[in-house]
Amino acid sequence: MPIDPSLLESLKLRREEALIGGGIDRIEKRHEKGLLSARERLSAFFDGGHFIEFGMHAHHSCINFGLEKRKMPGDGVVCATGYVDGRPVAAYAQDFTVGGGAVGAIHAKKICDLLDFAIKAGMPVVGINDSGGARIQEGIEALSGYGQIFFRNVLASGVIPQISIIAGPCAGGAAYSPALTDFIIMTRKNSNMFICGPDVIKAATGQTASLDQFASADAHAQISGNIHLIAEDDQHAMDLAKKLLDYLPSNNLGDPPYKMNNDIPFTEDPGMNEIIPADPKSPLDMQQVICRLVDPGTWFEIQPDFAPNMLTGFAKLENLVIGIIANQPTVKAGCIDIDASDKAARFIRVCNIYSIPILSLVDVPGFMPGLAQERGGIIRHGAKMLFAWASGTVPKITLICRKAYGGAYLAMCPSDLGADFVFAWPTAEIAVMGAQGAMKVLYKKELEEAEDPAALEQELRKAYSEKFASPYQAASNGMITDVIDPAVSRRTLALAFRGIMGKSESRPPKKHGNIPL
Amino acid sequence: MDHLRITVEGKVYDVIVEKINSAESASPAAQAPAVRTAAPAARAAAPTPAPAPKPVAAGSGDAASPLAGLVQAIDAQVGSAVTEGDLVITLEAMKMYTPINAPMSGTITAIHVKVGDAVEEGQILYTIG
Repeated sequence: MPIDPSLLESLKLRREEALIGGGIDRIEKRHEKGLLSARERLSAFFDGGHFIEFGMHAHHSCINFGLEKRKMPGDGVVCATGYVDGRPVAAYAQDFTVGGGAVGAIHAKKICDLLDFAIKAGMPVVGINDSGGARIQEGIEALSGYGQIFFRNVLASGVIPQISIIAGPCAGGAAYSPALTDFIIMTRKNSNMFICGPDVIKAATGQTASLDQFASADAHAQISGNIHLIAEDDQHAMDLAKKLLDYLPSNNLGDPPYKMNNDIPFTEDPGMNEIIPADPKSPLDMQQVICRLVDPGTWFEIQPDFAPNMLTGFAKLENLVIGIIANQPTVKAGCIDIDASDKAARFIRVCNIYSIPILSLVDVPGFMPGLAQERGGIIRHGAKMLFAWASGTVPKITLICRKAYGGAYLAMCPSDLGADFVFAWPTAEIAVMGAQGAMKVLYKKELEEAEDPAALEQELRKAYSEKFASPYQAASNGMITDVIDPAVSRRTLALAFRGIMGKSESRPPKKHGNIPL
Repeated sequence: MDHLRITVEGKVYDVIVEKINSAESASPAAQAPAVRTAAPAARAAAPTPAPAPKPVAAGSGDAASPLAGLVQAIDAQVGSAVTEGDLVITLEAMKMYTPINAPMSGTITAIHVKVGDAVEEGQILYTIG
């Protein structure tokens, strides 16, 4: 006996109703603003635009303040799994056309269920945030929903890659779910993220502040450091999320998606020597160094606008996915400051979670001097880098390009902090401090008593520089693997990474270390 | 300007308060906010340099020093036409030269430092009109 046709008809109607969310009119209005609807965003994200939806027929159960009469298709969020470059990925998109994308109990449950599923299945999760906040009518049920999402974000942290996209409002408690994830992408326009808005700030402190100053993508990318990448529009945001996944494994037990090249070409790159300034005081542009080292077009900088004196990002080297931490001497002399420490330490830990070997490129004159840095806790922040390196067990290779001074060098991963290989260019200067400072400590008395202190200082400084402004003192002590011609850097690193990929190292069992937060 | 002595949680602060809107400060209702602004002012009196202005604030033609250092060279003069990215001033700090390139195209209307000057983080070095 065939199926009763009215059942299929009813299903069709229910699906149609759910699929238009808040209605054609509202979707049209979004299109006029250049925005995609929640389902269009997911279609733009998944291979072939196809995905399996979870909870399409979900509906809120609230009976307060007349909400029982309002329909909320899907309860304002679309949850799905699909494929990205052939690998399974979970994603959810809040639907602003349905009750402003506000979070109620069922909405939160859908997100929680998807997160549970993704953890169980070991697949990455992408969350597209576009919500007016908690659904006030549901009171503490909504608040509880946020709490349950946060809890699962934390359970998933370090297990599956979590990427957040901010493509609309994301205010108050809602901002903390993205904050708990690995990467945040924010659209340049039509989105904002903050805890207290301009009105609350004004009422509480008297300060006048516009959203542009503290809640925009630019403000978060440059100043707060809360986000990692800016997208020009919705489609670009989806593309960036896909690009990130191209460098990440599906979960912490897998390897990033790469196919190792069979052969490593033993070519030389004389151009590398051309970009190293003869004057050690002229800055080396580390962006150029990275672009010459890695496979063309694979350098994917993360947090490019935040603390640009420290570069962090992914790349491929002879097809192997690597993470790069590099000083950038063209900005703030390449000094490590509070923001640079936080940025680098976090990135080192992301690489360690996801089995991504790390390359450290060193050209650092020191930690940033200054009252604001000391009072701001540069000790605590700089310590994060030391902690991240020492606790990281992925392959770690360090290339000392030029300056490697004092504690700042330790924060860039010498062999003492667990580097598996340390290479140095002949231009490397590895010392506990610069010549000028060292003179005042080493020869204070001699200089005070000298007839011609200036001449003596120059002589002593020359001797100091000859000894330490080179890699050979460190090389003679066994602190570095080899001194190499910059022209062979690419092949040397590629070969070294290939050789260390089988590394297996453990740390004493514990709940977790106490990283200085 | 008024010179006030304020005690906050037992700590005494000497602060100078400038009345920006005299009409408002004259009314008793405005007294509370006036006191409230005084407390942060007292904190600022402690030696905390203001955070450096970050690029978001840019748009004006002021080129600020990204870090403390010495002015090593000045490669332009008042009246010079510059294109965004042109080298205008070189600082020496932390054994390194730091180029202070033009933040925008235009004409240099003022250079606020000279070679050899020590500059602070956030200090305006030159202005493009």
